Amino acid sequence: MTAAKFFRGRVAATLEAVDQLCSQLRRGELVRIPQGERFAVELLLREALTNAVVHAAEADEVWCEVELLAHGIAVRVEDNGNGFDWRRHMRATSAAAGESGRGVPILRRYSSALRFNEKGNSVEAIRVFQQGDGNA
Amino acid sequence: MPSFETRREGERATLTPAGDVVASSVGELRPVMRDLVREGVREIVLDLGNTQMLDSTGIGLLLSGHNSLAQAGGKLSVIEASKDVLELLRTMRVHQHFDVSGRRA
Repeated sequence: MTAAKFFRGRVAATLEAVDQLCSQLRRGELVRIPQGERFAVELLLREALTNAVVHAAEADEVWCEVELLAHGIAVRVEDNGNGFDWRRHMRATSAAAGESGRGVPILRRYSSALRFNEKGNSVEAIRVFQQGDGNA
Repeated sequence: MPSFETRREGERATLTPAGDVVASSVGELRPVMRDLVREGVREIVLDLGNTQMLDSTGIGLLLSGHNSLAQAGGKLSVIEASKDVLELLRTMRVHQHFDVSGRRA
């Protein structure tokens, strides 16, 4: 398991590449995450990456960063596409029985702060660890 | 190796994915669930005992299955969900639509 606190990498705009990177995160090969936070961090990364792969108009390149902070983690994903309408998704609620549209609500619920750029091709999710320390 | 197992007993079927239920894997599960309903199955139990990760696309698959079964007078339930997956389903209020339960101790 790595002791690294920062990872930046390019990800192919495919779901298989998303799976591969998330597997690396799960195995502790990217940054060291406290045990009790690993599911939440992987979910944030997976949703942000999948959003870029599935919804980013004309994106063929995706970059992601995972940075361990003093009391949490930052997940950042950026693609070279034309963005998407994140404002509409931010208004969505999670209670309906609709079959789609839960990616952004999940990002909101699992992060302490969530920010998209104006164009919608870059997102940063900050999660404050709920276990209280940064020890893995 | 198949990515899921199906066990059928009359109008009831248990579907056990071999791993994560995420965007890359739902494409294989969706037609299976649809075909089960078409074949007359009215209760689908989704066993998540082998599943460590469920994402928004996976949740969409569960709700799609629930909606199809409900229209046919049937029901979906989820069993053996991990603590993290169970918390996700409750956080996203999926448990309001069908039964979800966790792993036996």
